[in-house]
Amino acid sequence: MIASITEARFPALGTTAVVLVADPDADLSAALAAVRAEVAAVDVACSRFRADSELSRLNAAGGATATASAVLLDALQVALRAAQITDGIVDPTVGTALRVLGYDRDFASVQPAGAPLRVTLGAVPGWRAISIDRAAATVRVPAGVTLDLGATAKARCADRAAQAAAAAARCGALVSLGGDIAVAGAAPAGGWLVRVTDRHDAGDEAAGQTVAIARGGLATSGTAARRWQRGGQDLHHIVDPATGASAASPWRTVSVAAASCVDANTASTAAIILGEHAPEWLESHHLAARLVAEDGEIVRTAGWPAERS
Amino acid sequence: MTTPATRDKGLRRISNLTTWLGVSAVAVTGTFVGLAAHTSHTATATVNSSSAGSSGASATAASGLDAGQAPTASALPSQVRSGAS
Repeated sequence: MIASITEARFPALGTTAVVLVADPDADLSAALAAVRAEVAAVDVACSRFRADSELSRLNAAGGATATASAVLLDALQVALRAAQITDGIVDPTVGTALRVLGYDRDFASVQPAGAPLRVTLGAVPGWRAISIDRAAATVRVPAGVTLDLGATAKARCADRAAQAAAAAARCGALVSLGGDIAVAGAAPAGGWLVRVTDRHDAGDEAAGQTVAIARGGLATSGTAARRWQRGGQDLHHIVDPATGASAASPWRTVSVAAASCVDANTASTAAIILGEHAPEWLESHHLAARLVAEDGEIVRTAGWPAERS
Repeated sequence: MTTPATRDKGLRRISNLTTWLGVSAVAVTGTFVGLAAHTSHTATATVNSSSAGSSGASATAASGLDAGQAPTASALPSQVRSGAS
């Protein structure tokens, strides 16, 4: 009976979507439909791996000005905002770097190991190269620049989907897209209970911490997922725009809570790239975060709660 | 000739003056901090309006990340996980 179900899952954006509603009598199917619609819209607009996506066409436009849907315009503006706020630490022009590192297709199809890379890495072109004309609904990306919206589009989608789900179900809702979590509406008593771990698909026994959130978003970035090897060298999907290489970070996992999922994910991604300077940076933005070092040491910032013993 | 009473009165005046100077210093410092914060915010907002292409950034483009509310610890079973994906 649908009324008794409060949780639904489905594959989305190369990961798993989870939809929770706070009221067990709410219409979960309506919430689920709203989330599916948001996910489908973002996928067709922002996927780097779908040949028919708007982003793929924009990346292939060779520097020509292209029209863009409202969804892509929104995603691009969110990406540029993230780049601006982080002084380019989270930059959408990392697409080419990801491709040459070997992440050139949906990650499920990326070879886990391969021959050594024979490429010259360097700083990415930078977000300032992108021009958006919102009034004309057009975008221009210089020839040779490839955008990747992975650091922000999924989280933005979670924010939008949570709002849509809460409206559709007429109660509080949580949407997780591969661990990028957004909540909307009234939270259940005690808040939404989230376990932060190295991987979103970890089992119940995995190390981590359970926290409660009542609003906004929570996101975790880390190097434990989407890893591969080339020539025996470990690579991962979080690229440092300054080098064009996988970020060399002392942190394996960073979880951040913020007023929105996209701000949380922007900060968690930036923290991985910032490395040892991340705690200070997070504190300066008053962002509650939990950073897990490669050796397992845990650092907390701005009011992130201590582990319960 | 200084009596104990006049000495104590003088010390109280000095103490009061020191207190008011301290309060004034804090107020002045707060004013400058406020001005600095306002100036910084304005500068960032100006960058926002001119750096996202010909039409500028959207009205939702804030000057910084919005921290929101810190989570609280819980010993209850979790409903969902957040981890790298």
